[in-house]
Amino acid sequence: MAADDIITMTNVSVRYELRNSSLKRNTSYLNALSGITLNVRKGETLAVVGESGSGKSTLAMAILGLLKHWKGTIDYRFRECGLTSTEDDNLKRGELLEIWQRSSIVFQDPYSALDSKKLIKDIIAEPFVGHRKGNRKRAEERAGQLVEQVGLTLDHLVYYPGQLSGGQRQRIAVARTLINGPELIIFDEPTSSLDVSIQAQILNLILDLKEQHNLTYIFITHNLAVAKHVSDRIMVLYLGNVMEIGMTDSVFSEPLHPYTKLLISSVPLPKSDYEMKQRESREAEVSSIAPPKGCVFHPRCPVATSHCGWDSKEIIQLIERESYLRLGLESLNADMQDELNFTISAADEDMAGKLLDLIGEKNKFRIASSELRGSKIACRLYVSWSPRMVPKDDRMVNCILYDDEFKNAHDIQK
Amino acid sequence: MSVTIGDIVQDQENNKVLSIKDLEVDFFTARGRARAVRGLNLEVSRGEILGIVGESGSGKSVTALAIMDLLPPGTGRIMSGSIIFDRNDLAPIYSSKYRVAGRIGREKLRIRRMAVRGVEKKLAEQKGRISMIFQDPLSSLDPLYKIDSQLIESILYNNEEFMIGKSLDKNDILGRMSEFTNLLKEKSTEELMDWINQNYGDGGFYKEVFFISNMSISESEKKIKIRRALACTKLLTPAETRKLKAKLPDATGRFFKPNNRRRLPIQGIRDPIVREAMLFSLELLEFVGMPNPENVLTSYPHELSGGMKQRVMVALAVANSPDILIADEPTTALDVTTQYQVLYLLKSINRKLKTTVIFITHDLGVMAAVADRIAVMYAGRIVEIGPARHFFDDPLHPYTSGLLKSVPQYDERVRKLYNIPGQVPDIRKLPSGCAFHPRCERVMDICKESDPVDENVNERRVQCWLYSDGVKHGSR
Ligand SMILES: Nc1ncnc2c1ncn2[C@@H]1O[C@H](COP(=O)(O)OP(=O)(O)OP(=O)(O)O)[C@@H](O)[C@H]1O
Ligand SMILES: Nc1ncnc2c1ncn2[C@@H]1O[C@H](COP(=O)(O)OP(=O)(O)OP(=O)(O)O)[C@@H](O)[C@H]1O
Ligand code: SF4
Ligand code: SF4
Ligand SMILES: [Mg+2]
Ligand SMILES: [Mg+2]
Repeated sequence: MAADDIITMTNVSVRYELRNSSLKRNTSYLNALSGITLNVRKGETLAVVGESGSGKSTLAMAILGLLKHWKGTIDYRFRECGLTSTEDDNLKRGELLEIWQRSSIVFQDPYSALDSKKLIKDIIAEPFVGHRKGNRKRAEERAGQLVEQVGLTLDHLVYYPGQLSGGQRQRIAVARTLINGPELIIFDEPTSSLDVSIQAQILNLILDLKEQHNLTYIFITHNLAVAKHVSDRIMVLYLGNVMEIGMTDSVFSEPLHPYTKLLISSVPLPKSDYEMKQRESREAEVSSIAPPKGCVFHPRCPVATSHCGWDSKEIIQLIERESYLRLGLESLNADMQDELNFTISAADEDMAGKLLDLIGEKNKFRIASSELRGSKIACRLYVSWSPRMVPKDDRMVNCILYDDEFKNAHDIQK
Repeated sequence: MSVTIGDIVQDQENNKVLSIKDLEVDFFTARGRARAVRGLNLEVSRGEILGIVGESGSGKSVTALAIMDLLPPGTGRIMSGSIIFDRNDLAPIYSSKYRVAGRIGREKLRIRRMAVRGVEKKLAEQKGRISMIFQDPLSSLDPLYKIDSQLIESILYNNEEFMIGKSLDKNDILGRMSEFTNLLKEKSTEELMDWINQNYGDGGFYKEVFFISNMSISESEKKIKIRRALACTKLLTPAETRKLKAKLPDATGRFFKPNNRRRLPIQGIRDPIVREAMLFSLELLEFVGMPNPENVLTSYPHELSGGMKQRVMVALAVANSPDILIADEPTTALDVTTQYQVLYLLKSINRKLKTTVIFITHDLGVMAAVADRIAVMYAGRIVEIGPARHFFDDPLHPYTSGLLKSVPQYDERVRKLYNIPGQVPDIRKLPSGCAFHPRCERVMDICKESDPVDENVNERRVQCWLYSDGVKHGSR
């Protein structure tokens, strides 16, 4: 772990247990994060972007020690306190308190995040009292200082959350995180429910406070323009996997990972010359309960290679659909031997020939061999490579296109 | 202000599909009267995408709901003004209707679903239709019915004539149409009307021709219009209409048995009308770019992802090929990649089907992607409206330029974002004069006292004293 890192996560995986019914029998698991390795440098703002369900909030919870079931290691290097947390050696209550004192979080929803029955001064002071760091009076003094730092007045201390606007509530939430003088603040979508003019106020406030208090930020958002505005480095998550991580400016000027490219090109820019282009869009239903094999992004990747993780089931479905649309076949008789081998039986040899053409034309790059045996077609797929994080220029990318080892092996195969 | 026949004719000629004049909508709440829309003027041209931007609470949704006649019964009311759509002023019709207050729950859901079916049901003689896509797709899809039932219900409800026509003998129908086209060349409009009445009764098409014959246009123009009207109708005798209508399902639930077949859902459906409708819904889902339309048809709404639900919504909304499609923040809840596809879809619906779209959003990037013209709303009024390119390059109103400066930009990185001081005013206690004056950087004395009026600046319109000649000269 480098000296200037405040947090180092090594191979952190998180899964949630899903109980399908009240009977405990059929539990399934949802992989919210799979093998995340990440370091957060002191004094930086790291943006975490990704679609809904990609595991952004889970990452925040993992860092704050709020999860019960997880794997991997997290190292904390705060100024006067170093801690290590692993799955078997979960943090003790006292250690957790240390972490909560030195790091805190601002949530997305300014409406539900604050207890509506409490006065603002109590809301701000709550973590202070909670950490038993002093008496009530000192806590209130501190709340008074903070409320002014976030641009409100002392009068607001005796308001209830219901009497404040969304932007004002978010200011209160920010003030609250500062009460214990933290080193790290995690923002989980702090502005996504606010209007642009209020969003600008909150972003300015957040960036000012960072300078004043020497803070490190993890900034979770799905708004790429906001991520670009606030961050030094950016991490792109997809279905619980890191796709790319690097300096914000270079990721935006030259995204490497196909998903990052898709993401960045999807943001409409508020410019008069902005134009939408038709693009090769592939759509697929993906779920984190049964994540795609190989590269998790492969069902949607516009440049997926034949080694990216295709299995028989997926390819049969594609052929089924294609044969319905193009040949009018209402059902396809397919027999799956294993993940990489399957046979399609056609009604007659003539139809088998047509199907073979179709397969060759549409799915050529995914099928290693397809062979006509009478009215049956035997197909075999390529063995898949699991992508891993590889360095490329100034960043890390999780895609086999940038993996030299894969490239060499691939050339040999040809 | 009352609407004269002259106004209506004028709108027709200027190719305005919808024009709203001096619309006022109030909410009567426990905390007082809230003026959600205060004298709104808006004209929508045929075939354009008009974007409406504005911050939360500025009255964007209320305007849309007023057009759709979906204001919450009891509390929201159109106080004055007019909504002229296809030769009719809708506002008096809406506000005259007696409405029961306080119905909620499933009833609300039903009302919302009615919206998708179009206002047309309520104004039966009207040809053109308006439909709406809501921000939250779940509120307009019924969780209890599969997608196929909902789509078919919507198709049959709106496109009775289309469906009826489809299930009749095509050649017969074509024969009737060509017979009529021949007559069109020889006979006068008056004679044509008699002929239609004798052969096909005084149904929808008769009324349409009657309407056209009464317009103050030349005979040849009338014939062109009649010809166009013919293209979207079917010549049916009253007996045929009755017979076929009897076959239409009145409640979807009764009509559809659970269909567990994974592929080709039309297998086993005997009724020709429903078969056609099922095929049409498949086509619709293909059209909106659904990855697996056959599977989607037999799914329940909760089984679909956000983007897929939103696409079903779009399919429902375009099923009856509406004249106007109102999309209220249709992509706010979606991820950017999905948002891009839904936006692209709406844009191609506009370009290919020539549907007029009113697009509501507070995302300026989304606006740049879709809108031809942009209207900016603030505190229940349109403060600036004009072509999209001017909006971004040369905003007129101080509020517009403030908005533009406060969004983080992609290409240039500023240390500090501009922010408009203060916040959106409470519409129950509006500031005097210009509602924006407490937050405006360029505020003048007059702004605090009197309301600015609309000023035309080339092809744009702005509501701000800075552009009023009198004031400009006076201040010099
Ligand atoms: N307590 C929980 N039990 C079961 N599944 C959960 C739980 N919390 C989150 N998940 C699932 O874990 C995955 C990751 O969730 P997470 O909240 O981290 O996503 P996110 O990136 O923060 O999404 P969003 O942008 O919607 O906030 C999702 O598929 C979510 O449904
Ligand atoms: N049912 C209602 N009862 C009382 N007031 C209402 C009701 N619906 C809307 N309003 C008020 O009307 C005003 C305009 O609301 P509207 O929903 O049109 O805003 P909007 O521009 O769509 O905002 P958003 O971007 O948040 O959707 C708001 O001040 C709101 O408080
Ligand atoms: S490994 Fe790279 S090329 Fe292959 S599917 Fe994943 S992102 Fe696409
Ligand atoms: S009228 Fe006056 S206060 Fe209102 S926007 Fe114009 S300059 Fe500003
Ligand atoms: Mg989250
Ligand atoms: Mg709204």
